[in-house]
Amino acid sequence: MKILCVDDDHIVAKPIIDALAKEFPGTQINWVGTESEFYSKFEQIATDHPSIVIMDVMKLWARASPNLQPPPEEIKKEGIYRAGIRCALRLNSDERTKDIPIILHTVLNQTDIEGDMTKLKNTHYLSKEGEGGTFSLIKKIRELLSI
Amino acid sequence: MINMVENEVIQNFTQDLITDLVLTALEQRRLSGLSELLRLITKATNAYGCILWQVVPGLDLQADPSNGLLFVLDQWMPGTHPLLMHNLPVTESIVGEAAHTGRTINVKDVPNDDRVFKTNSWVPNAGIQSMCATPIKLRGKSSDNVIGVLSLYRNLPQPFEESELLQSEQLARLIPSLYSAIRDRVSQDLIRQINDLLHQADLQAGTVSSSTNEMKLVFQQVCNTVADTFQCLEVSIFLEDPLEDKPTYRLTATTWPDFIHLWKSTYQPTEQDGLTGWALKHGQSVKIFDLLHFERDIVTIREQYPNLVWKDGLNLADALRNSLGLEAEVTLQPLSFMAAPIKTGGKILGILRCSTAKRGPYYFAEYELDLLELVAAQLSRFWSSWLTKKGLEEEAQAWEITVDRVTNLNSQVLKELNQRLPNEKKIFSELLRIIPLVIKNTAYSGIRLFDPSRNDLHYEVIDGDFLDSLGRKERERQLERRFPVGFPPTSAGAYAFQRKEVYVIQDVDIDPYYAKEKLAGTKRAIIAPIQVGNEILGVLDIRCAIGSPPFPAYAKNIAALLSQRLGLYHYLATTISELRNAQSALEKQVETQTQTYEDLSHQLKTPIIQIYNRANFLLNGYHSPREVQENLKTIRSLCRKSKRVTTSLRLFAALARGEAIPVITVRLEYENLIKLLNEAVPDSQLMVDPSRNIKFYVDNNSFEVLYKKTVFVDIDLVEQAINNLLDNAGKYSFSDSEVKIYGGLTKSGEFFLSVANEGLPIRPSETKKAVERGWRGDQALWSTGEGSGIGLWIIDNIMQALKGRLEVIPTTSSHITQIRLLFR
Repeated sequence: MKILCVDDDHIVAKPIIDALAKEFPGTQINWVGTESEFYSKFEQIATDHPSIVIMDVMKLWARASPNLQPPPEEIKKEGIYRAGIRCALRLNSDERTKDIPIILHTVLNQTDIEGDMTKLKNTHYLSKEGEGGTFSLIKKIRELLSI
Repeated sequence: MINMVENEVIQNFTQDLITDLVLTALEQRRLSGLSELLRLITKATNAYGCILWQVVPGLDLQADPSNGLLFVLDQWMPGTHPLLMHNLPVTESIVGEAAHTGRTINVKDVPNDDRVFKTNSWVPNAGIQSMCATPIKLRGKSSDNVIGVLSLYRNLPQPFEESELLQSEQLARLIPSLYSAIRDRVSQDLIRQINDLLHQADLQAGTVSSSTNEMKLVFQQVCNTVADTFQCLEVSIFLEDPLEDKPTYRLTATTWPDFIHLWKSTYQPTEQDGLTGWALKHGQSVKIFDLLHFERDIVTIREQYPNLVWKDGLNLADALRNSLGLEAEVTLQPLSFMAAPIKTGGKILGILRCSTAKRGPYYFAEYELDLLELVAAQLSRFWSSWLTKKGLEEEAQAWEITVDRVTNLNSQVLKELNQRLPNEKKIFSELLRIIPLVIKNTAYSGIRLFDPSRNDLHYEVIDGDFLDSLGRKERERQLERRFPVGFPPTSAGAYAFQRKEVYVIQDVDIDPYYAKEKLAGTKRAIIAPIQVGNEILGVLDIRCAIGSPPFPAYAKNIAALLSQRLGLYHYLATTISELRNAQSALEKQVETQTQTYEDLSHQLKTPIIQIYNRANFLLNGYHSPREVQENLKTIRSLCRKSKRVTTSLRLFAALARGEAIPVITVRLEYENLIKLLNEAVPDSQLMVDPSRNIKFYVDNNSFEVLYKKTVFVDIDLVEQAINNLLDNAGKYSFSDSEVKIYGGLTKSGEFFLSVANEGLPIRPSETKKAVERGWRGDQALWSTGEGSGIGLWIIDNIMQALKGRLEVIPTTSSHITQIRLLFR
């Protein structure tokens, strides 16, 4: 099994990755931090074909670096607040990745992204502030992958 | 007058003759009625005919009889007997002798008496046998005051007896009184007729707005009536043409249209423009005894009318002969001329002119001139009243159009003001288009606005066909002109601007201020200040082209109203724009605030969720001491972040309300600062992804200056400032770099705390903007997932509250950016 975690905050991502590794031993868990990194690694993601993607919604375009490339105009226009939605759409729109289940793991309320959710397929909302924390996430993965 | 008839005269005639004479005199409606009296006298004296002669006015017969002249005042003959001569020399005739000697001369045998002037063809043709010539003297005066002669002609064999001569003398004494009675009667009748005519015209003008053509008909009727009374060929009225630039008097009505084309049809009020021109210039009446002898009498004439110039360029004598059908050998009657100005106050409205009597009496005396002046006075009252009425009508019409157009303009202005950004130039242009419709003779108009930064006026918009005709370059040149508003004023615009009053210039060439506005082809100008309350915004500029008549009097008030409108529109447009801008800024501010609160809320929510999740994690199941330690450190770090965000939220709210940041100052001790940094730095380090390898380093030694330097701070605010700086440094630093925190004293002895990192740049041009609320550099915007760009803004406000300052040192060539907190 392969799990892809897309989140720009290592404080959030690290315990998730640790918990998943413990829960699903032998599972390959990959972490992508920014939106630009997601696009740049998309071909690899499509080839690897993760079993499930844990996708944060709000995330930055790129880390500070001397060669920071600005985002395309449409991304500039939409801003960082829907970066995860854009990444999910990209997965949905590629023949190789369209069937991969996506968990939108976010601090946003479900009502905040209700409109965006209608555009997405195979995508499921899960709040980061759920009672169980990573336990809820593990439960959701099991449910979606029937394991 | 009749009671002046002396008793002795009455005694020598039958009561019937006296009654007939008096009644006939009183029945006359024309001055030519005098010939009717002569007919009665002829009949009463059993004569064939009778001529009444008058001595040429101004001549002294006693002093120099050789130069004396007599002319026919009137005559009566049966049938048509044109006189071959009207002027008789005093020394060469029976009539002249009677005038010269003051005695009655009786000629009993005319055919054989050499003294009788035989060349008069009618004398032998009528079979005249005898005649007598009786001098007419002013009553009570001596023989020196002969004013005329009554000559009676008889074709009977019996000459005049002594008793008949006495009767003739008595009748001659009666004639002046009877003539006077005729004149009085005629005067009254003429004045009454003119009065009726004008009254009728007045009534019509009161009910319907009479046109200038209708008025011309009235003046024609006046000319006809005067001509009928004076029995003269020409009576003309010239009136000032209001459409002319210079005073010009144009023929309005005449009784001699066939002949008038030989005369001038327009006159200027100058001495060079003949008799009419002289009368117009001086506003005085002119009366010339005989135009045919103008050159002969020039000295006497100029004594009364200085500098009068007239030349018979038209050959009046021939024209008159042709008109009256007179043969060449017939001597012409005196071609008397008189003209009376039609004036009101000092203003000359026109002139009433009268010349060329076709029947006796041929000479216009003072009495006739007085009568003409009375008619002119009537015309003056009538015409000035009509002009006033017409002017009022025009003014009322102009105001009506003004109100109508301004009402329409108001709708357009309202529409324009409803636009997001009202186009003031469009409003101004629309208003300028109204001006030629309501202010006659407008050739060009413009709006000059005041530029406070340059203290001058400049054209904002200009309009007018006149300007178009000057070409594009002149138009552009006009728009580029500037008019300083210094003192003393150097332009008419500046003058009106400073005085805050409408300035009317009747002749731009002689105006002391106009030079700067000079525009070829313009003659007059109205410059009205555009103001709202006491604030002057500019001037409205209206020009009239050379050759155009003056602006009507009401133009000044209309210009004032339109300029006030402009002021109001400008005020409304400016105010609305300002309100919209303020509203837009407020909306943006509200949006930014909302966004900031949302960002801060999100920044707070994420660590709280993580704290919650990590606490749950620790509480569930067994964890190694190292695992517990790491999670607790993370929780502490997240708590510090939450505290920082909460403080930012509180400070932002206070600053957004415009409140000052409360400060509690304590001395900043070295130990306290190091403790603060030693807690803050590891927490900040924890918040940075370890894979990026960004190291925070505190140079503790550099802060030892605090042992020497006393600095007072609010420690909580300093902690907030440091946390914000470290948070920024963590986000904007490049991987594999170091964030260095150090302190020291500046050259001027200020204590500083500096955070230097290698990361996204702040350019020199951005250092000021960097501390503004909401600012984030282009690249920073995409490399941070949270934050609303208020970090440096809050630090700046904290430093101001602490009486210190924030210094942003732009990124160096080695990518090092330094933010420095300086304390007093």
